Amino acid sequence: MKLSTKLEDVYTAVSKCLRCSMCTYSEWPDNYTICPMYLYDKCFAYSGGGLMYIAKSLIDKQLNFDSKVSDLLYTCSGCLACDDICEIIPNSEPYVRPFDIIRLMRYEAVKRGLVSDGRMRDIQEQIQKYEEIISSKKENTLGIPKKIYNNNADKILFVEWSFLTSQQKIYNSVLRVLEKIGEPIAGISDGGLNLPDLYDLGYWEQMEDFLATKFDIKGLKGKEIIFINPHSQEFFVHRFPEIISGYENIKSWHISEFILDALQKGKLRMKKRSKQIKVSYHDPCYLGRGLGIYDPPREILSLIDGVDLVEMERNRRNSFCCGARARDYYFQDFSKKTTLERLNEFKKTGADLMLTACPYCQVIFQKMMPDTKNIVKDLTEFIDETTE
Amino acid sequence: MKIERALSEMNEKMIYGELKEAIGENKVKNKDIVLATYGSDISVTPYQKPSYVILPENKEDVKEVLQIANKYKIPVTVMSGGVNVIGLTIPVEAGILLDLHRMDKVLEINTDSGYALIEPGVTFDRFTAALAQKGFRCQVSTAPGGSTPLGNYLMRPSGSLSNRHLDPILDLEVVFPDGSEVNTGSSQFPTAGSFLRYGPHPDFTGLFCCSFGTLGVVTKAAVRIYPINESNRVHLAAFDNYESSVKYVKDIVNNNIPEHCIIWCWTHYMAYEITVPPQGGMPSLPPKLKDNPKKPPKGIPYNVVTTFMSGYEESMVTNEKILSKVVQKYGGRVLSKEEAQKLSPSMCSAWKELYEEYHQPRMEGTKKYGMGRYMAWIVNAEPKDIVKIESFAVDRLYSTGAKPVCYYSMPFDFGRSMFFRLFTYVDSKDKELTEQVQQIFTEMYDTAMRKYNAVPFRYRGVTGKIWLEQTPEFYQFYKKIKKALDPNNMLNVNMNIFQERSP
Repeated sequence: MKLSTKLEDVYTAVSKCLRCSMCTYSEWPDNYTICPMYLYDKCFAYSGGGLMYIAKSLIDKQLNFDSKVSDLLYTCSGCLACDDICEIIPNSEPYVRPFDIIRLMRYEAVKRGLVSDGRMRDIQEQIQKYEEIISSKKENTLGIPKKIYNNNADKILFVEWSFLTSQQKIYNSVLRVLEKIGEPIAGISDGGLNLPDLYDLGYWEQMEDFLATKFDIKGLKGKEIIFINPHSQEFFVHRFPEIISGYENIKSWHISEFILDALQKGKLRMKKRSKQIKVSYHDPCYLGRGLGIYDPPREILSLIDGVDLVEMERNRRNSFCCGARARDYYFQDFSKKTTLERLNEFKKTGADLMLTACPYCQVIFQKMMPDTKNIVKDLTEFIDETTE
Repeated sequence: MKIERALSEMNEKMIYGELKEAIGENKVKNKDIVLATYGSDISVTPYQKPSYVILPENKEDVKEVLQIANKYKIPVTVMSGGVNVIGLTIPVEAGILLDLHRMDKVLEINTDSGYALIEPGVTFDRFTAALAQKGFRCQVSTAPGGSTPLGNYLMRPSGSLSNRHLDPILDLEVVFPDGSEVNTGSSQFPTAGSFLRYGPHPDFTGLFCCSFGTLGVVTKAAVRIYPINESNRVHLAAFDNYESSVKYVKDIVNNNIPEHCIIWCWTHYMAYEITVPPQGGMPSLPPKLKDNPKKPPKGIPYNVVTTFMSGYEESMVTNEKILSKVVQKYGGRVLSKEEAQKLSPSMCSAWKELYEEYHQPRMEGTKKYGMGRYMAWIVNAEPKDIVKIESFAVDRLYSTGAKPVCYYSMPFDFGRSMFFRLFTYVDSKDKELTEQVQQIFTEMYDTAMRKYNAVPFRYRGVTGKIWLEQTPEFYQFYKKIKKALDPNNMLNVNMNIFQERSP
């Protein structure tokens, strides 16, 4: 969605919602409820369609844009289920998806000062820190092993600055796996300014400033970028072409795709496992519904000796959100209940290990199962352990 | 007496407290954010939010709510799925919006007798999936899979089996404003199931069909289901005029060939071929759809008739041979699957899902709603009249400039009447054209009823005019029943059966 889009511009689209509620459940014949808000409180208002009617009511001035509206908008976990299913909103002027309209309403909420001062301060701090990080930037601050680091390499690892500390375990696994693969790699960082966050949460003005003055598009031309975080990848692949005129899409790899490619080309070898292990794979929303990447993680697991993949009931397009991006502003304990819903589904599989491929998912699952941290791992950690 | 006055007098908060106390806080919503989402739909019906949205989870909840509503004389608008395109569940006087979504259980699938007991919030998608697991199917409408069988069946459905099995409902459990209830079919007898709609007593099931929630709230229904047979087929025939199509469907229906058949205007099946750019953006229609619907481009059949059959494989083979013969009798030709696939692959896929897999087409089929506000005109008439109606109605709508002008039509009850749905998609920002189409539709209803003996399909026209005014004796009779069952006139005041409400 273009950053210049105004709420009034989506009126035609939101007026078309049929109230069919199909945005809340997966395709026939499974029909699993996959919208976390609707699962929490089965009321039309708390669904993708309901939020479209809220947009319509706001435009028509039948509903006041107040903190309650803002709270509900930020409660939505952004699982993209409505985006994936609905064919009516995206085919109506201005041809955007339901979650784009939710983002647009969040942007309006930010403009109207309806988000907490604390949250706003966080964003300002991010921007300030970004300035500091960028100004003190030295070559290979990202710690890419010397053996593979090449500043002019065609392949560039994209790293979220915050992950260097908060997701050190995953990041170190990624670096070790890349070292085993041995291809030359350069690195870039978001410098601590999380663009997908700014976009999803409605801080568009701050993002616009950054894109206008700081973002080096030309430097990426002809390069291939490897992403660890599907939120960043989805942003580069789908959002940049919408919001930056003249942006030419770059070739992108999710780390799981890159690992699979290396395994298939014999650049990465598996260790022999003596013990069978039952593994279940959780499809992260932005990797699956956002980018359509469902098979590579599963193909990798099928190549590992002794791994028995058991699917959770809701998987692939029908996957259920981990709840990491959900907030409790409107519903009490909403985030926790969403996460526990998914964890209970995992437990039903009887698997020994849950793997995921998005750092946000891993963090929230581990947070909800603090005594059993080793049950949830990132795919790269598992690959690191099982490869030579 | 308008509800706004009643509620301010009675204290809205007190009623809210009473509702919460009776059925639980989570089932009673009064926040503006929820109410606003129930105040409109895709139609041009004026916005009106309810005062409360109530989400009952069982019959007892419904009884509690109705009794409170009755006590305070609060209007109650009932919604099972809420998927409709003409504002049927938009409250005209605020009050309670009784959303039955949460009553969504398939209670029984009786494969011996061939009926299923369902709650009103069960969606087609959940129902058809549950039936498929048992090797059964039901009458499927062309509405989205998120709509409800009960909502659809109670409103004179046009579904996948209405050639032969016009009325899918057998038995209803209905709750009244005083909290009493009744079972209308054979389950009124203490040990009997829901296998008979009426007899030895009157058909009170029929009383609630097309009553649009004015007489009671349906909390459970027994609906007809059918086994999935050994073999099924979709046979396609092409005709260059509607009259031949009608003669053909009457012939095959009267000779017991199809379970169902539908006549599709070329603009309708071509409208499924909306092209969406892979990266999103403006979808485009086949340009020919902007042409006169009476003059399809060369090579595109004016009508395609889909004939749906199921049974033993041998009878399918024989039926196909018979159909080939009958098609020629009326100047048509058999349309091969390959040719149909070239004409409209999306429509072929939708036909397959509807009539070979027995469930609603997936969301892809709804892309066409992106073209504009869906505006429909629907009538039923005898076969001889429907041919004249098609001729004048298509021309009349086309004269407004609305494009594309689409229709489909089908025989009801072995061809005793023909259903005819004409529609277009109007840019919702184009108020002038929207009003013009509304005006033309109103005139067309008048003409169809006066000149061509037609019966309209819903209880009111596009401008909100109710048809009961044209049937005074029936109207009086209806009022008597309404007064007996709902003396305070609180159930679906939208229908405007009578204005007065006791103070």
